[in-house]
Amino acid sequence: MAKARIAAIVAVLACCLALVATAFATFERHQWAGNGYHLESGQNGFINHDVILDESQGKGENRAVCAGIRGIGDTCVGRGEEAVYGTKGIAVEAEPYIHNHDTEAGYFNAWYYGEP
Amino acid sequence: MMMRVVPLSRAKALILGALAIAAGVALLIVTTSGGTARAGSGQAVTQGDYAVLTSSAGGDASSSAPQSASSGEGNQPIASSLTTIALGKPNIALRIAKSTEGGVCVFVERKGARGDGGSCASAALLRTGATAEVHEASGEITIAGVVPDGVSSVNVQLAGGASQTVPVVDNGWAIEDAPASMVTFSDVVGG
Repeated sequence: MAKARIAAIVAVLACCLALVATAFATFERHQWAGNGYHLESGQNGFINHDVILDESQGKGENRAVCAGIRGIGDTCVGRGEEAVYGTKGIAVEAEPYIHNHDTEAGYFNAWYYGEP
Repeated sequence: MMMRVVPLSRAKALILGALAIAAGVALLIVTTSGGTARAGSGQAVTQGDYAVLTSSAGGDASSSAPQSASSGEGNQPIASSLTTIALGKPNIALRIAKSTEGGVCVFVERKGARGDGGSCASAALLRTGATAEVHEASGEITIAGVVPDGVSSVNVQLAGGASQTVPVVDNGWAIEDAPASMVTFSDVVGG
């Protein structure tokens, strides 16, 4: 009886550890905008589908940019800076986006940390 | 007692004059290169001009590094340098880090918010530092930044024409619940 209980506890712990390991292992940096991704001043750029993520990043080519997660929030930075907006390590299913925060049009790069 | 004034020879007078000029130049160099107010001088600003990064608190916040700190791609924060800045604002957590491209990063988090934000500036921007303006879905705006040694406060121009002067503490500054987005900011050196 005791052996069965211990075996069950070990199995549950192993399962939990495997789930945690899988979650960490699959969170990678994905670039979804770049290579001439152009936005007018004030224009948003969306990935157009939800992903599992916990961090959104954006960088303008000498342009001010905001990087965010739709419905949650964003971070805006000046020219030459790279913006990061995260959900404090908690994975969410949502859409990453960037925003041209500059007075001029320009080219942008964007990434998110999440599942492939 | 009688003092006798001995007239200097022409050569001695020239040597003394040259020495006086050299001493004056040396004094000028010492005066302009001393102190910590690098932001206003013409000298190159380095990561070493952010004293909080080299203080005893340096690296104290590496356990809470953002995920980007471990990726090694682009201009990212160096996790081992991540340091908490004690701003004295209980609802704001502000952190600074060196960036992988020789610049600085700033990270700001408002207590109770669902997310947090940050920014990494390149080495070319060390004189002005890094800023991050975090917008939450609820409408709250938090603006924060880091500036080099010698900057005592920053004057933040907000959209709509208002401005706020914010004190700098340990290279960091922040505006909690800003009434509008930041348009620009300027350093106040000394004072």
